[in-house]
Amino acid sequence: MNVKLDKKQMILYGFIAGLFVLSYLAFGHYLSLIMSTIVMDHGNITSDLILMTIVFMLFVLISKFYKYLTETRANAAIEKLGNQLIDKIDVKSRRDSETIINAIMVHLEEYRTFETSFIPTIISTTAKVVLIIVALFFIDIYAAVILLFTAPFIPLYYILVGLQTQDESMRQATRFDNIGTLFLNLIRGKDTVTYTDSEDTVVKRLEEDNKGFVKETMRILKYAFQSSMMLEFITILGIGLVALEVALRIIIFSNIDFYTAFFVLLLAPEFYSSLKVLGTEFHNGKLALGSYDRVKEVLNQDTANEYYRGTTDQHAVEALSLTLSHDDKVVLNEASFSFNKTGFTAITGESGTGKSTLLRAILGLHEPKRGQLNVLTDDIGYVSDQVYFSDTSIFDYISNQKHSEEAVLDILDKLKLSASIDNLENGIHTPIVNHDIPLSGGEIVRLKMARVLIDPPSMIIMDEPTEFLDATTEGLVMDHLYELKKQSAIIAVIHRRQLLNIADAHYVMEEGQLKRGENQ
Amino acid sequence: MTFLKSEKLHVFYSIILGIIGGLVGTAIFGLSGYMISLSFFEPPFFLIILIIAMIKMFGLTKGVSKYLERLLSHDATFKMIGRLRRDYFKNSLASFQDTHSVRYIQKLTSYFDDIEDYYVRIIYPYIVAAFIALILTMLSLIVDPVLLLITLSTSLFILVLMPLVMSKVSNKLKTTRQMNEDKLFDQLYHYIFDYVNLFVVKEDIKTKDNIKDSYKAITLNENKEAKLDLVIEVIGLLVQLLAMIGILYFFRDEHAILIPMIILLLMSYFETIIPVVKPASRYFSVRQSVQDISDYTVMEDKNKQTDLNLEHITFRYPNTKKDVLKDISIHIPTGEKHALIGSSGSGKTTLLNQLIKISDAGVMPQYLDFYNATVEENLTMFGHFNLKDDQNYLQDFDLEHFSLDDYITSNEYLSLGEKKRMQVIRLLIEDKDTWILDEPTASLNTRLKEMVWDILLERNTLIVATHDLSHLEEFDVVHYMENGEIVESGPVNQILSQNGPTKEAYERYKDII
Repeated sequence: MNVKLDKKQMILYGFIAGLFVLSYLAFGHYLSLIMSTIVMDHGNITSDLILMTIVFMLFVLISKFYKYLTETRANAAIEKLGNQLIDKIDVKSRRDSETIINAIMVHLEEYRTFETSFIPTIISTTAKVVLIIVALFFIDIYAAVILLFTAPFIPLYYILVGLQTQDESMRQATRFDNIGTLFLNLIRGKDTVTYTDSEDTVVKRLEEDNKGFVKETMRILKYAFQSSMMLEFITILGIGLVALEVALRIIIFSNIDFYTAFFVLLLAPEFYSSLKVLGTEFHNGKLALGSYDRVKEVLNQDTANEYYRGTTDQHAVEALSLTLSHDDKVVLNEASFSFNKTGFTAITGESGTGKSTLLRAILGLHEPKRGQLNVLTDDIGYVSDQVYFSDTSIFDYISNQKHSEEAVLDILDKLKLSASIDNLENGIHTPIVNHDIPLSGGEIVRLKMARVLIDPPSMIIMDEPTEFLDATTEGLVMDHLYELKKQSAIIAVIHRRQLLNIADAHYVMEEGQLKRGENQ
Repeated sequence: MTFLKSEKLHVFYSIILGIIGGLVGTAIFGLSGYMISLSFFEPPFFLIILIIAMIKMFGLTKGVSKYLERLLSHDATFKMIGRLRRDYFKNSLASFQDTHSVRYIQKLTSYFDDIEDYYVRIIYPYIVAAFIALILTMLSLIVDPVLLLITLSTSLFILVLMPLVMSKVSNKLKTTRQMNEDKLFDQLYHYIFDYVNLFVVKEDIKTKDNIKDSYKAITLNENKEAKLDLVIEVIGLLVQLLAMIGILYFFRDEHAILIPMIILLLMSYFETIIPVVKPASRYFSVRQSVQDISDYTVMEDKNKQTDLNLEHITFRYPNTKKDVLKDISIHIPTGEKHALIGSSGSGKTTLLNQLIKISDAGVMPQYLDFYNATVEENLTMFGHFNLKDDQNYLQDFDLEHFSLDDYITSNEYLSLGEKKRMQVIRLLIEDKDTWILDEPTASLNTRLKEMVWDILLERNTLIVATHDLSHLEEFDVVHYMENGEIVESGPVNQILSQNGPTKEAYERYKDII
């Protein structure tokens, strides 16, 4: 078990569990007294009945309170883990979004039972086993000895047979997962099956897989079920021995009263069933821990450090011996450069040379390996052709809660966006959820431009800003950029020569350096 | 239970075995109670030995019947789930449902968990508990009509009334849970996929806090679930207490010697039925999702054309607020090569998908599907096509770091560029006359791009949506799309000789540094 358990919590849980086991023992005590009175003395049972009712209620209240308390505390612990997972989301998460979404929504849920059920049950059952055996030593030492003598057979059996099959059943559980995934995979990739007309072949494969799986699993489960049958036999052996012991002492030796006999036969089955519960819970716990490992994997990932940038008031961007790497590939090696506080800085280079990585580093989203990166301000505008709008509207996005409807409409008009937005039922106020308004790349670029234009920041980062805009729109955007660059620094990765016309500085990224480009 | 077809007999036997196991299990307690009372009244010793022997026999019976019952019920369940999966897969093939979302897959998983629950944890234990209740109630008549009254009323209360009353709460909790999870998923998706923008406009922290609030709602719902457990168990145990007090009080004189037996029987009986209440209360809501999954709507069969013709097509994705295709008409005769160009989001992929639906072509869709199976199984669609021995496709496409026996463990196992190349190999093995491809050369290096273009342009009929205009002049016809419309379309040499968006895009493409 690689989960750290809080000692304080264990003691608290153990204490409460002890309390309700004790009240159960008290209930057994009064019930046995009542039985004895009814069967043997025919006396008055009222006071014992009242006391039994009280201790039973006490047992119910404390044990259910215990369950509720442990469960809600476990849920809180799960929420804490959930929040830690959410905190792990950063700019890199996009690449393996499924891993992190599944960790939060699937694996953490599968682990939940470990916290809500496994830990509390193990503690309370242990308390039960211990207290019952202790109580029996006072009630009937012979029965206690029988229990103590037969009990080790159960863990022993688990060690001899159970553990052997456990590894195999774990493997099988993984395989079940795999077949589940093949099925889910096929559902997800059903289009390709349709396109290739391979339905019959694929269905046959799915059926074969399932057949093989059922056969294998049943073989493993047979062992598991056999072991619980053996446990049942050990239990019944124990209970039978206790019953025999009690009967012999009543009839032959006459040295035991009704109270003791009943109490012993009430507690013995409780004792064995607790041991069985321990056995099955350990198995379930092991499975849940498999899911915890998947959660842990995500928790152990590094998170991007967003606070590495220094400040400068001399330049828009200033790099001192800056080394940037992406996927273990060095894209900038000990580079030193600075971009002006105003004007258009163009960056070109072949694809894969790390231009986007440099932009991200400036934005605060890619920590350099070495060196210093200083920026003029944290207030940076960002223009690209990618966005996923949700829980917002065009108006909210562009106005940033600072500008009027007229200002927003005016800017949309300037960028020739009004036409496509007027189509929407509530115009710029149409709520957008899960990006349910399909936008073309060109529209996204202009929406982002609009946000930058309405409230020009002192720095603007652009990633391929005018790809696939038509000439008119591109001209429009360039006019605005020309105005903007007078007061702000525009740093843009560009792929087309045309934009070099308005560039004040041109850098080419190659061989890990940022070199001065043409036009300069 | 229409889905329990071939497993019916297994299910029937496992229910019988479950009842036997439950009854003898309860009987053990009763017998030991009876034995004690009897022992104190100087019975013949062999009678006591007989009872103890019976206890042991019952114990053995319980162990064996539980063992067989579990084998049978698990075998039946696994087979049933296997069949349901196959049927579901077949149905989904015939529908146009988009199954690429992670959430869709997550929901599907939970549906199948529900189905497993439906039988193993809801219906089956309830039937067993109900039969045990019935038998014990009838047996109690032998002792006393009042006892019959007590068992009957408590059984009805716990097995009928409580599940019915709790089912409303249970249903609400399940619906809330589903809603919370949907919301959480949408927020996570938004946060992950728009992280850069949210960070830049400084809304990342706020968005993250909203997600945490949603998670809090999930915790609150779980706590309510715990509260429901609490209420059910407390009520169940209090009913048990009442029944015990009643028995002790009413029968203390009349049936004194039987009381230990009855009390122990009762306690064991309650231990069997109380755990059934919570699952039973979920019956209706789970049945709903089981039905949901069986009621899969099947679309009509597509009629495949070789001469592709679409007329006046307008298309909008479900739950969106804007048309992505506006009154589009396009005709692609056999033997022609068509290029579909235009900005991202202009509707190229959507139009391509409409064409795919009516064609019998080899396809490279936007989402490239790979399955957790070997590379060979993936390339040949699990042996549906034959791989010729003399062809070494993997080497040809710079994929020699894979062997045919390598196991593709997950969708992320292959990079986008590798997927594109594997898909081309699939198309070559499938060898259809017409190919329809979405961005076939994206994420490939220059050499592979050239190689892929060479292969594509050898096809008889070709439809390609692409940003890569390097081979535009080798196509017969080009269509330029913008905002869901084809704004320019015609023979490539004619279109490139006139001033229009296509020519402009082509010039720009050549202007790339």
